[in-house]
Amino acid sequence: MPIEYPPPYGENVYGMRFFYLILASALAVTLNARLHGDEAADLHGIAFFEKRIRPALVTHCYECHSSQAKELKGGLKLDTRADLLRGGSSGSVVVPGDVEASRLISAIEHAELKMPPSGKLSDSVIADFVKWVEIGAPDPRDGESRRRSRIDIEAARDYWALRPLQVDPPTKNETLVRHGIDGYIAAKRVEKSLKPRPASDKYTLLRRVFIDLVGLTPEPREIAAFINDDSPNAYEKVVDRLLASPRFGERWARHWLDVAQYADSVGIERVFPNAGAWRYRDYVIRALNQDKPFDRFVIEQLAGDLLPYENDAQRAEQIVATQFISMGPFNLVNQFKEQLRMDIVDNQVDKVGRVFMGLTFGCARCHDHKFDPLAQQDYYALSGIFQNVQIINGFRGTSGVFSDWLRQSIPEMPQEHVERQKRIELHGELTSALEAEIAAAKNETDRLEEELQAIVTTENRQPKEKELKELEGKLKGLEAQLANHVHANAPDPPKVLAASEPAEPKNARINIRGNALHLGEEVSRGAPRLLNAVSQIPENTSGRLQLARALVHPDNPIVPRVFVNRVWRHLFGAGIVDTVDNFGARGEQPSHPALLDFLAYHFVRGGWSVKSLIRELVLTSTYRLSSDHDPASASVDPYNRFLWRHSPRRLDVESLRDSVLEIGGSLSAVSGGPTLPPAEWNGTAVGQFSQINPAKKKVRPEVLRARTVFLPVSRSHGKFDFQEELERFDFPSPNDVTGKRNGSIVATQSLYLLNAPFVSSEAANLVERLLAQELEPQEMIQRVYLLAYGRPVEDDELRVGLDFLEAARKDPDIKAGGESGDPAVPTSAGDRLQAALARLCHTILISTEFLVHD
Amino acid sequence: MNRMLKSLYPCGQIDPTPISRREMLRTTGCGFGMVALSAMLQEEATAARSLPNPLAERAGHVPARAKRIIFVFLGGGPSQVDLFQNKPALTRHHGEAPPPSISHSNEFATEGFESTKLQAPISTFSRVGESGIWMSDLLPQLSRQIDQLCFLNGTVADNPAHSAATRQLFCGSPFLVQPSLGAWTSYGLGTENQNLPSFVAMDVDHSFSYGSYFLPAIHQGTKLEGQPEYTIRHLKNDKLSDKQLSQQQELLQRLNRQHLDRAVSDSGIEGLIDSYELAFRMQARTDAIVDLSGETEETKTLYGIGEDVTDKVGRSLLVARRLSEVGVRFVQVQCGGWDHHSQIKRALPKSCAAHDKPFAGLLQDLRRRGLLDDTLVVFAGEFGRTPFDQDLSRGKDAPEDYGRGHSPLGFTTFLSGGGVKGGMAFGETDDLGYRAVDGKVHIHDLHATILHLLGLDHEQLTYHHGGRDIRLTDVYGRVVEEIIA
Repeated sequence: MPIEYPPPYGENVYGMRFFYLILASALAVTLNARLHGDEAADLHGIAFFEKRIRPALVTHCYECHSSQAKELKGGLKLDTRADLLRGGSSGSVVVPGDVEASRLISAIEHAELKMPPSGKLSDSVIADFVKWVEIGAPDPRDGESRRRSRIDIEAARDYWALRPLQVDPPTKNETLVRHGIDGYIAAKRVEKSLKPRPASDKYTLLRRVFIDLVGLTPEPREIAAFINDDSPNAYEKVVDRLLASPRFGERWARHWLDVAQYADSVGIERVFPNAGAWRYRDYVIRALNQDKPFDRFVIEQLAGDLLPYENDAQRAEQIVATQFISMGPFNLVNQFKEQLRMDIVDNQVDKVGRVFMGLTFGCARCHDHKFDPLAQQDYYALSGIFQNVQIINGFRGTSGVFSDWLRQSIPEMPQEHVERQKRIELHGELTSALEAEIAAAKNETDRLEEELQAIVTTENRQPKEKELKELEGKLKGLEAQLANHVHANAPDPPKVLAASEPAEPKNARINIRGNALHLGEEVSRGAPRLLNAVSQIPENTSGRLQLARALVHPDNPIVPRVFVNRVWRHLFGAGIVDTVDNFGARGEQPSHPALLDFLAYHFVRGGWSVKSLIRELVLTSTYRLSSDHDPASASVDPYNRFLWRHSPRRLDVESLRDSVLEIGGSLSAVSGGPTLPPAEWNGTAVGQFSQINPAKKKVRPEVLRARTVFLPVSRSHGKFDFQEELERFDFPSPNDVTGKRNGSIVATQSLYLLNAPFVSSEAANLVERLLAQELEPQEMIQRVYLLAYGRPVEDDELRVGLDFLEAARKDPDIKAGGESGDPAVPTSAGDRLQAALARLCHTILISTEFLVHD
Repeated sequence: MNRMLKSLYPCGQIDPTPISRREMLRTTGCGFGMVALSAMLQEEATAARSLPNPLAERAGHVPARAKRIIFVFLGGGPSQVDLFQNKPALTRHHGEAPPPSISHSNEFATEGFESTKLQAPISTFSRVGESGIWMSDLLPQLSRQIDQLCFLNGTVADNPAHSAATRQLFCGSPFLVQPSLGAWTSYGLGTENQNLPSFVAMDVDHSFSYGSYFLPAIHQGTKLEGQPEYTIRHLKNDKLSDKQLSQQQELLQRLNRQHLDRAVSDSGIEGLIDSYELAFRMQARTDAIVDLSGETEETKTLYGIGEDVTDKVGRSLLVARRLSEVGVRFVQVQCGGWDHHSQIKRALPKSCAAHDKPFAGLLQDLRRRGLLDDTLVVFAGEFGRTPFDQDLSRGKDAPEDYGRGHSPLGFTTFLSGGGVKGGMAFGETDDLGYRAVDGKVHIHDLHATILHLLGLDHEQLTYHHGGRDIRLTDVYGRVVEEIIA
């Protein structure tokens, strides 16, 4: 971009009807025929069924157990042979030839369940059923019951989100994408009789674009440069500089990590460190900074391990990318391991559905989707692909409860190798030290035991026995520590919890009502039928690569639609489809459908460049509108869905925290790499995540002052304190796909800002820096306003600030430095001024103008 | 910020849409400093607002029997066969291997299960109260409240591990991350007292037990910690003098007001200002609520405050009552120490001694204040314990020192007040006290019943998330009508 409009407009841009014809027949999910056809069913048996069994089923059972049932009971349908053999939610009901095992018989005999509930059938009917089962339950009713075919894929593809992209002619004779965007927005505004606010002033615009693109407030010299630049492309230059900054990737990676369920830990109940997670985080940051085409980004995350590579670095990166699939809320303690395995797969299916397609596949785990064209078969076709990715692997430790997970080796980079040699040495030293301690303790126990043998009186034995018991406890602890140290912290070559391909990929079987132990038909692996371009999955592959390619195939417009909408939401405060993770029938309709298609079209046509997309969006006039309120417009469109102004928001927690650290001068230079500590830093093995809590001083201090994206994230227990604080400000749960964070405003946030040491200590740091520059109070206030609000202070505001300092300076009961001072001790005027300045800065940094991103 | 409008209309008299509280304050001409703030501290936040208040009190779906709830968590899993369920058969078969009904279908084999023996109750039982319900003699004070209590002796949960079962007790599912019962309640009903959070969680260990997950964060439980001097995190800044604090507060209000003036009217800024105001009110109020010095000695004695063994639990329950009394919708209290894997004979009586008097005191105190009628009190552990013994010492300990394992298949939870029948024992387990056989109340049913008593229909209390309407009870749950008065 800038991109010119392609002729011809108004056409079906991809000519997708053609694909429908070819693919419609090829894509139907093939059901395995294994359960069909019962050889025992000869003509005689069929006649018996028709005469005796079918009428009884219709009369006594169908009311609750058929496709016609108003409310299906027990998940059991009896109106086809397949349904009958499949059984209900609590298992099979008929085993041909085995009366004992056929629960239908015991139910109608009123032995176990009492069926029909209205009263027992006559003995002769029961005898018929018994006979029928004995001769193999012959049943001519082929096919699937009607309820199964409820989902009409052809009709479904006409749903707006799945339809081919439609691009209308532009409203004006303009050539830039950004002008096209403005045209769509203007047209809608006219339709709704809304008048746009004027453009923002330069100060506001600069702060807005800084926060949006790099997640930090602008520094005074950047403000000055922009204000003094009168050239027509001054703003464009700023945008390009920001997009080229490494801070851009750090900012936008977090948006992706929100949907990718990123965490540095594995497990929900007991939380273990996921040592290689940071590599995925850094991969996402790099991908954004290098403007990796989004289609490539998708393919790498789903199937990077299956792609060709030119060198070790590329190979490593591509395996690391597949951590996208392996991150999620997996409850390793679940003792029903098959259910755990299926829960993991469910998370993968649902995540892929929501993140890339905006569809809630999870619903189809137990039944056909009630609102969207996703049949249970589609779910298990997709599930089959992911069932071939092995995540859990044996047990962790010896308890036999917590599952361990499979780690994939990745090539080690030369620098990493050098680093690791140092760690090997340290690890060895620690191992020896622990071993020596254990040996000493053993000697001591041996000695005690010997001594004990010599003592006969109980009285004399007791103190020694107590000592021995304590020593044994200590020894046990040391041995556990050593085992953990050797196992969990071994400086092994790099490994990550990522995807791999099995030798013999298998299909999934339907889990009846989502129960992993209750299996139905086998379903061929495949992409959901509502996608258009899908190649057949070769038998010897899981199908991950084919799925990934299908998702970003130009004939599948839902993926670019969903993605551009995510980007739009981050910049404009609300999505064109505001339910950004749900484009289904239960989601919202697009406010500007034509614009959504226009953006998706140009995004794909422009080579899936995320930076170009963002660039065009922030260069629109729409983005640059003032956020000023307007009562007339607000009465028509209170939520600003039609963009008569820029939507103000509360600063997201990353921008809040990172900016405060930067203003205080404390932001550390950490820009990637592992943030969880290896054992050598503290001499303690790390078995569980909670053991690395900063309260126990086991995290490098510079990590604690790093940008928020680099802070370790836990899935549940052992959260770092700061994660709890971040969550207070809507930092998302890593256990969920969060395309749209809550923007909650609660009192505990205010309490945190007022009273937690974080903001006040950064304010004190700032004042110290400013004092070192020998600035007068007036100059300081001017500087603080620029830093915090991104604009110069006004006269009345300066007066307020100076009055505050004056009042505080006169206050005899002031505590120097705000910290340790004793009010009884007189403090110097300088100290009092410094403390008052710190309070002034603190107050400015928690005031609404700082907290609002407009 | 609105430079242009300000220069156009320096008087600041710009037509407001809809008249908000902020507009009122601004246009009345008085300063917004401490005068207005202190006025606001006095009013109980009833003024008109331009924003819908997510904590505003609202009607439920069905008539409410209870206005508020105190949920007492008996963490660890109290033993139903030693405390609430009199099982003579267990005494008769003491020392025998468990019958096939247990050993052959032990869904949850526990450590040491191969050599386990049935273990007689460690306490004696008596019939108590008018209702003549059997109760352990280890809980003499609670026994006196029997006619206020309703026991669910067929409570069932799905998992025998602490964390999973606790997650289920509070969030419905043992394995999935879901919002907590308190958060659902706050979301469904809002709260009476706008100066305090709707949901307060005291001494809690598990963050999920008061989490809101996908429900708006405002419904998350606010943690009250630091017993005996309870406080809310970051409530105070003791590094500044009172005067400095008020100067800073005044400055903050002033800056915020200037900002709002520039922006003309914006609900986001108003929301932030509101949250600061609530924070100031919480600062002003919380101490007084957690401060027990205003309570009479007689009341403190009632809760066992001042006695070594009962002081801790007594204090937390008295604070819980005070919170409940001023209109906190959901108060959650954690009382741990019920996980008796070994030495149950020694340890269980101690746990009982620490809780018996405070529990009874809470009920008595609520009743005499007329609060028990519309306050639901729930006592629940995450599961119960096995009727057979457990030896974790691998043969080193004497049978005298054994304990009991975890058992979710049939245990006891109990409720009081808030529309629940008193003097009732509902449901039962088999003769050995292992598996619920009658009047089963699954945790989903317990949740459905609690919500029902509070006026909420568990099937209607939904939140649209991840493409579907999610509810606390998933697709399960039955209101246990039998226990409703």
